[in-house]
Amino acid sequence: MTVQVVDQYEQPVPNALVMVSDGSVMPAGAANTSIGQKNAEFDPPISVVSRGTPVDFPNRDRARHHVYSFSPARSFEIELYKGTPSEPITFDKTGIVTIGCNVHDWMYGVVYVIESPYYAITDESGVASLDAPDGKTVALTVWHPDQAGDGYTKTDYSPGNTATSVALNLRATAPRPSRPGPIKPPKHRQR
Amino acid sequence: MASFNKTSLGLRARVLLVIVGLLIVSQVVALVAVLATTRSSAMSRALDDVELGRRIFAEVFDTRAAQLDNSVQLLARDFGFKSAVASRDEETIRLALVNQAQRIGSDLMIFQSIDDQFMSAGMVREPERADYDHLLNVAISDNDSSHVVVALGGVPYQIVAQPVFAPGQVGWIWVGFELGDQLANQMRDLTSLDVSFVLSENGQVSGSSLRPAERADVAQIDYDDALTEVVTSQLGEDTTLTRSLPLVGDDSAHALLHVPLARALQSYRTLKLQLSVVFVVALLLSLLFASKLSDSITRPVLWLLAAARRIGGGDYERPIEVTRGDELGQLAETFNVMQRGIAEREESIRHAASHDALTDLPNRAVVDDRLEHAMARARRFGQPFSALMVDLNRFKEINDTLGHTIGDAVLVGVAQRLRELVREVDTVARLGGDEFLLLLDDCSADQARAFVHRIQDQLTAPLSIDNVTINVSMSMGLAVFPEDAEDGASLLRRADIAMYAAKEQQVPLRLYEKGQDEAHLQKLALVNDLVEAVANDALILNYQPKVRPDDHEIAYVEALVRWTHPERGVIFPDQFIELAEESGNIGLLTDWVLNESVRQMREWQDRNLKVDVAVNLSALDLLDEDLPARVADILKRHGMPASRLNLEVTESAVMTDAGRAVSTLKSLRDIGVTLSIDDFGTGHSSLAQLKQLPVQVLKIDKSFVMSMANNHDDEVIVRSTIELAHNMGLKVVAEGVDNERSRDLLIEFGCEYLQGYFYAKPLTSTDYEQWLQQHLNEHAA
Repeated sequence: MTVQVVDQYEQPVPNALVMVSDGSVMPAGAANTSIGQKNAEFDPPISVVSRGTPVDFPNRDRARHHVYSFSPARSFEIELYKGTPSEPITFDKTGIVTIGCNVHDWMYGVVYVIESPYYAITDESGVASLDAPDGKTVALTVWHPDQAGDGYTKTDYSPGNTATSVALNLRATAPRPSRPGPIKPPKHRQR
Repeated sequence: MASFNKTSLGLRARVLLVIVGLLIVSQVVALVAVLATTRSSAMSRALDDVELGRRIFAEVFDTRAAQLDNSVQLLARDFGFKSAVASRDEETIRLALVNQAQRIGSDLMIFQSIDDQFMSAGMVREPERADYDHLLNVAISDNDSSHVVVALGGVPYQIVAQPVFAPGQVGWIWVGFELGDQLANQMRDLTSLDVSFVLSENGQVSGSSLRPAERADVAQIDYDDALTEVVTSQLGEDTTLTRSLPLVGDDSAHALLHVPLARALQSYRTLKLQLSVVFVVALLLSLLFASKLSDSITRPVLWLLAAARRIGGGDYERPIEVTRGDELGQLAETFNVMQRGIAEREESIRHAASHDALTDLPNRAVVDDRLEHAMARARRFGQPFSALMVDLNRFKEINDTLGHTIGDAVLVGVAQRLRELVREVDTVARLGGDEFLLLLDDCSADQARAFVHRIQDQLTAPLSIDNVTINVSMSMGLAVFPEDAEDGASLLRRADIAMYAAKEQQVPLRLYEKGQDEAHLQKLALVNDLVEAVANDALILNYQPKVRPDDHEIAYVEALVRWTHPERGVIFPDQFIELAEESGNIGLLTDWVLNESVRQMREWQDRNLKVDVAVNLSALDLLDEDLPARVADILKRHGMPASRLNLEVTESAVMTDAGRAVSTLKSLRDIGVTLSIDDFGTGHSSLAQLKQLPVQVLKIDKSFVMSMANNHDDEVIVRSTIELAHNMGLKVVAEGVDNERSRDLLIEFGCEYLQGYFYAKPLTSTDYEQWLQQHLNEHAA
């Protein structure tokens, strides 16, 4: 099945999670189990983790990182470390967990913690293709970290061959802190 | 002659005025130029200051915003703060916000969660819901949202927004500074310019470093204009230069930078004061200098002026002392020359005024003075003095026959003799014409007579002039003071009367006799009365008819003038006509008689009485060239034809000046009047002369007629005269017909007209009319 996600302005929404659920649960560790830090970026920046999966945060940079999350689904903090911390972080609640580094403000990662095995992440055009259980009425869920409210959920969704379009309300956000480039002089407001 | 403009200003004042005026003008021009330059340079410096202040302001304001931004960013990135936000630990957040607000001195510090569920404010005033919405809208719509001006609850803030990431965006921190007096004051301290903040939305002045009085006027300033140029406006009592700049990109608020003109021109003011002092000092000095200079010019001029006034006042004695060699010295020298010239001319004028130009003898003007002196001396010393009037005989003849040059030479010669013959103390004066006066001091009548006798021969010796020998003789009259007169005028008049008596009697000298003057004066009074009588029509005309004996017709009447003096009774015509002739009034009298007789003729004609009139003319009338015109005029005035008027002239009158008389008679004849020759036989006219006269009638003198009845000789004369006249084509009138015999004889001789008591005496017009009626009745048959 294919789902097209757009925001309230009909703009495609990339990096959104599209998921259908028929009640089946995938085992812990079935999806991603490790979120590394490389070149001061999360790798991968978007990950899907099966609920209950302990996830490693291996630091592959020479610099230390201080990975944290204040997300309600999983709040944690791995203080300044090098290498792979001995204790993995177990995500035992479904939801959206945003992760950052207290040292590098631009570092930003999203972890979708789910149970259903049927899921996909939208591409740059906001399109996600995923497998779905045939002939069943399922729940369709679309998540995004900037969503206003609890995201999109349709419980009596019948997957088919046709693409489904989902509109998701997003919050206005400020631009994320960017990686510092060369130091620029202060910008003056002259007439 | 040169002329000068009269001016009320003296020379000194004018010199002063010119010098001081020039100095003032040049100084004022210099002062104005310097001040204008200085002012403009001070002004441009002030403008530069404003521009500089404006750049500093922009720099400071932006730098400040950037610093605030940075300081808020520190909070936004604080892990503890993020942690508190994540855990929604409201109290921790609030304290962190307050702490940060105090640290950076902001007026507003708010956290707003991204899901709009949670807010916390670190500010005195709790923001309202609407404020957050507004902030969020601004933050979302403005890409460059770190720097905006937002009005919250009517108070404008400069807002810096900082997102909080944890690590997704969890909210905003708003940090705000009120655009109020405090900020304005801070900016003033940094820029040295007064600062005001104005909101574009409503033109509100939210803050200003100005005093309230000035601040009230800030809203009047057009900050849009002030964006590009300096705007001059009145703030409170100060004229102020203002420049503006936008505080944020959307032009929602402007900062206005003010410089009082007074402060900008402070240096100019100081310079102005200094220059004014210099000006005043220079002016005083120049006044002093000009005063000295004008003194040096005008003092000698005033001195010359005083000298000129002295000369004008008649002081010709004291010359001006010349001590200078310059133009003024030359002027003074000229004054001296002028002074001498004036003195000489005045002397010559005085001499000319008191002396006769021809003989150089004292003139009449001097005589009065000399008389006074002589009388005073005579009174004081009890000595008489004599006034001797000397008049040349037949001087007119000399003038007429030998010319005026000779005449003048005679006068000079006589004058010279007189001067030589009298003593030093005596006065010889020429009174005019050929009349001289001698005042003989201390001289009685006898002495004077002896003196005249003594000098007689020398005085009358023939004069030789231009090889012409001229006999001169004089008539002299003598009057003695105080015997003959008690005052100068009388003395001279009486000497004159005596002189005329001498001339009349053809003797060399007459002494004044008592009473002569009175008779003379009486005559003069009578002349006056006569003139008055003519003017007042107080004369009357009598008319005596001339009868044609063959048919008793009245040919015409002779008008005869009569005068009855109001006091002295009847004055005989011979007497007053002679008076009129002597006094030059005969013309008046003749005119009156002519006018009255023609008027009467007209009156008669209007009453159907045809009466022609004859009027007697005087010998002097014949010398008057204007007479014919006047006669014509009178005839015209009364509308009478000239042929009705007959004019009678005596034979002797014609003979006096035959040439002019004939000429006048011809003119009279030309206008149409008829002419008679009167009193024929008494004159000495020749037949040739008689023949020339344009007369139509000849009147035989009544002396012949009256005596011819008894005197055969006269009868012969009358008869032959009548024959003669007839032979010459003249008609004849016989006057003095007073008896029947004479009438018969005259009729026998063929005399055309008879006039006399036998017919009628001269009658008034009324009596004549009665007589005429009677006469016509008698001879009606």
